[in-house]
Amino acid sequence: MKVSQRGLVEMNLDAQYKYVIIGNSAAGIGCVEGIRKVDKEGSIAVISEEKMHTYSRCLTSYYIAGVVDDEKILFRPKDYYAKKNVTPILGKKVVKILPEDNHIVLDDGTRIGYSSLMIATGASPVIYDIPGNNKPGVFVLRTYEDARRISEAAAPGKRAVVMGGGLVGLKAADALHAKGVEVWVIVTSPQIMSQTMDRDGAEILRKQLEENGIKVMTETNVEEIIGNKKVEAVRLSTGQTLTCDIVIFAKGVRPNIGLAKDAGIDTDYGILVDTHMRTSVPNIYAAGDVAEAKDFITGERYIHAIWPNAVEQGCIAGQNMAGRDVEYAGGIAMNSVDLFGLASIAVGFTRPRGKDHGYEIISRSIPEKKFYRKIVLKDGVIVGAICIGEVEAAGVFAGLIKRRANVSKIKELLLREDFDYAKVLGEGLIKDTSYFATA
Amino acid sequence: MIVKLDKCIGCRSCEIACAREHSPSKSGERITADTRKALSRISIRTGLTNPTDAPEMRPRKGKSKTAITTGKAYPIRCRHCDDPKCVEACMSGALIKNEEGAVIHDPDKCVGCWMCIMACPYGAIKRDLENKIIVKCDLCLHRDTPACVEACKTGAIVCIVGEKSERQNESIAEGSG
Repeated sequence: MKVSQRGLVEMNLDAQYKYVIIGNSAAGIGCVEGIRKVDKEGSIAVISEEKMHTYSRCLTSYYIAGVVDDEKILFRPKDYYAKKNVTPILGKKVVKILPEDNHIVLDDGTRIGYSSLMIATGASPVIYDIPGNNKPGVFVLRTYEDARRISEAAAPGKRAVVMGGGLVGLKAADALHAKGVEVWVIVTSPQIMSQTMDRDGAEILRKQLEENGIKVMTETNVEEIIGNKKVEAVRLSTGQTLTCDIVIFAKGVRPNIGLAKDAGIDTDYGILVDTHMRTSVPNIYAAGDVAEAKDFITGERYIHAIWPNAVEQGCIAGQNMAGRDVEYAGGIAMNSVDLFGLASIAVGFTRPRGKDHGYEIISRSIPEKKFYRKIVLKDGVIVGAICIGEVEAAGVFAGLIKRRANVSKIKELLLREDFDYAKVLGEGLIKDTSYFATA
Repeated sequence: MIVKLDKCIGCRSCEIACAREHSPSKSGERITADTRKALSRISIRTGLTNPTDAPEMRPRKGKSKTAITTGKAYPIRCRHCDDPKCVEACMSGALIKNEEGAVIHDPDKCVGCWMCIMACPYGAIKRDLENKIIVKCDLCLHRDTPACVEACKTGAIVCIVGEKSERQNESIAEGSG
């Protein structure tokens, strides 16, 4: 959108863009790409308080391990902003959104107008209120800066306590271990990966960790971080004291909804969005870890704070912002982690509990191969799948979940090690027009 | 890329040609150790029953973990989707959809997180465990004709890129339905 200099002055603005995106990670970049699918010209500004060119938060643990460097952590090329005709405003924090005036205010007082706004402010790690949680040596792992600091602290012979057995915690543990740090993972739940993995799968992964030298303690809490000037030890709920140099809080994240809330936008746990990724204010959208969007399986709003959903939501929002009508089918949980060469993927709803009725679970385990597969069905339709060891079919299961294909006919095939898309086609479950008979 | 199913006899010539094309030495006509190690980006997999009158694979001997010895052969490969889920899921930026419509993989950026495998509904992406990266069809962009298409003795694999293939798919769907 072109606004004359006079226009800016009248509105008391320093700059005006057709699209303003707060956030420079998966959802923000997804949004850029969505907009550019429809509108090649419209001006776009991407604002982030981090100074870094767009990089992958999922690679931060790889950065600690030394697998990726400052260059490889970038998930789009250096000339990306120029190529997409995007103005990056980095190292600046948005302090206010003024929906009535369609502009935002930065921490240096700059006022920037927008025609439509994307809030992709993500989430922040939660630091629990325990004594000593602010001592030097206590870290979280979310940003590039976090990774840089941890990687400086990590050295062979040191000892780290990772609080939390989720994806971030385990990836951090894996990375620290690769740097020669002795690692203890302390988990409150009775199992690791309690959000994404079922008990049997988690047990296989725990074994894999322990066989490779990472110590795991479940049903245990860190109650205090001890040390004079810096971290020296932690006191556990078991009464035990563990000496250590590094403590990492990896006990989940909370969506950054402050800006939206202050602007009067509807929020609950996250920012509430409809199936077009619109917030309660028509020209303001939200996507990614901050957005409470439709869940594919339940139809209710939920936050699946994962990379692919953030990119997809951003892309859908971007297209809608640019005037195309695109609907979000809903997100499903999806997690992949490779621990010491053992791949594991969990998609969809994998853990029906006692109160959840009507689910059918089939599973198969081949311990000597570290093969585990579990499929959760409802009314003949797959709603969740876990693959450990052999993961090549995981995407096929995810595809079947999204197609809501009735798999009753091929139920026995699902647990075969060699299950693949050909089995789906062979049983005529899906009509795929790229395969056809000429006769 | 499309497949004329009734023409595929599951001979796996495409697999060999693909592996050879993507082996470091591009070993020509002979199959050498590095071809054997190279992974084919296309796989002949089998369905257990046969909904068409298409020829079935003959029983094969061998210990391949993928071997179901009979059933209709289906070549499984990347379709270079219009809305590629693998690119969406790729957290390292190793997968991109280029302007010609091909989904291209940069092995230097890949960290082997398997997110793309989790996202691909066709199971068309493989793990290269030795290098801890994925491998997928690159459409043999460096060649005039993809190696698999050239190697297909029965003319079952036909390659059309981008919009053209979309149109082709539609006309096929209309034609058969």
